[in-house]
Amino acid sequence: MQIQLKQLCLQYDCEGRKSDVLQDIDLQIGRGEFIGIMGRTGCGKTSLVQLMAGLLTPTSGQVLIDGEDINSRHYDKTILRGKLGYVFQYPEYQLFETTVYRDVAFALKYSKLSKKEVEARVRQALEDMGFDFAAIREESPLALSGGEKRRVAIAGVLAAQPEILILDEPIAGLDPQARDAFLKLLKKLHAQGTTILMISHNADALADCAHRLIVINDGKKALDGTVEEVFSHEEVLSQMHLDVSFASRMSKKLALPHSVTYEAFVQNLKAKLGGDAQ
Amino acid sequence: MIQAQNVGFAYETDEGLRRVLHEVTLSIQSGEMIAVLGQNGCGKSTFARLCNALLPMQEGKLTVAGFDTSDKKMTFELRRVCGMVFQNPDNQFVSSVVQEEVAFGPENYEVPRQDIGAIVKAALHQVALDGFEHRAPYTLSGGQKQRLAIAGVLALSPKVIIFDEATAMLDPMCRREVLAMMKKLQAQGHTIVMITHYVEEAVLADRVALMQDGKILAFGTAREILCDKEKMDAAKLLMPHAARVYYDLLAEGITLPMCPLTEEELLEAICRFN
Repeated sequence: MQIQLKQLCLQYDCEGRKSDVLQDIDLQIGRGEFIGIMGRTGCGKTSLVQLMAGLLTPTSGQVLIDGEDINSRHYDKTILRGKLGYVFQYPEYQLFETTVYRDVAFALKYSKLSKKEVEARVRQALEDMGFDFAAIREESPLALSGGEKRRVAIAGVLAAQPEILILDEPIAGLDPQARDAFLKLLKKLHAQGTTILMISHNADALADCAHRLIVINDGKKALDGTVEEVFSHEEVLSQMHLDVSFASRMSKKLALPHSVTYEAFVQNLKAKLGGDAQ
Repeated sequence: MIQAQNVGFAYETDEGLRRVLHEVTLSIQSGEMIAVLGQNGCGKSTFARLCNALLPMQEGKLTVAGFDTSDKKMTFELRRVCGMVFQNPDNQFVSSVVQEEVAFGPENYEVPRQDIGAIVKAALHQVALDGFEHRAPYTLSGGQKQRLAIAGVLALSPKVIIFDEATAMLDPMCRREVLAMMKKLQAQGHTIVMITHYVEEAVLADRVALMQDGKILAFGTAREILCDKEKMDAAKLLMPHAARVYYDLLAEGITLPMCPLTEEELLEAICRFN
């Protein structure tokens, strides 16, 4: 197992009262999995991934990455920083350099890569995020539009080529074309072996690319299974203020075989209507 | 309520001028709910920011609620009648207590102190945050925070409220909360402009403006725009799921009786097909 959470608990001090953010979370995540994480606002999903990234310290319990307890006094966190990339919820706030190039290259500054290798990585990351490298490299990242900033910030994380990629609501604010291109890129990274954990409210996007869904509700793990399994609990999810994908919802209403992706749903619908027409 | 004529705008960058708006002309009636759709960087937010003079006018003429947005003497008044709600409410909050947050606007506009209490109470009531007066904004949920941001805008009795991707970060339930709030405000006579990437939200609008590369590509009813494959393709946007199903079936020789805009209409169309 690449990531293991054991009896993980987190408490915050909120206006003098202790409040449980996460309670007794046990999770095992294998190398190369693509996991979607869902939950209503304030359920603790961001805290969960921040614990995995070593950005928060648990109140009790353990986070093991490749078998090592990352909160142990003897653990060297630079190892974790080298293998884990984290795209924050508003990644555009991470931008600070004078040019897009310098911003994306920042994470590679202290790596042992040559100048040429750095440039190749920056170019690749920016092109992967849908930019024309030559046109964008000298722009000020702060002069870009909201969605463009977000894509530059994500490129900065991708340039470091992390083994584990954690993304907190990365596709909100991207236009449909940028969103589709980004999901394709995530699928490509996944096919190349990257472990991906993505928080999203977008059930259609999760159905499209994740293989496993973890649903957090009220600080506890509520559901954990394949996308098909989790979306078959439409009523349970609705009580947690969550939606299933368009395909899942419609296939139920039309009494079609359960499908979670748009493509599979349209196939099933064609078969049904085409059959009826004949 | 909003009249734009040949509005143009370019940002200054080290590389020279970066043009983001090009001869934008459109007219929005009082009490309408308008959705603005378009790709990242197409000029949606720039246009919104010109509407309440967060950006200075460069070319053309833009009037909002009767105020000329290039008239610097009226900027203060303009911002009162044209409120904005942004994607991340945390960026908008200035106070550590909910009621002070809502009072911030009226205080700046020198509303008599004895009136402010009633204004704050009414604004919080309108967004269903009664009883939250003494809470800290950061303890609220995402949907509640966004509603608080709306209350802050309402306290100034604006005529126009612009929502710049105000639902992007919310979970489905909170999003429905904010959308219901927009509808309610429209029913009370406010003119609503929402910038969004969710076509399913644009369905709720009376009219939809499609933007591309700083221009208005099309402006019409939600159905005229969102079910028009050519226009949506040209703007590089996806149609709502229901309309996509219609066209994907059409390509296979299956013609539903109508092009549906919503899931309910899709169900109905499929029922009628059978």
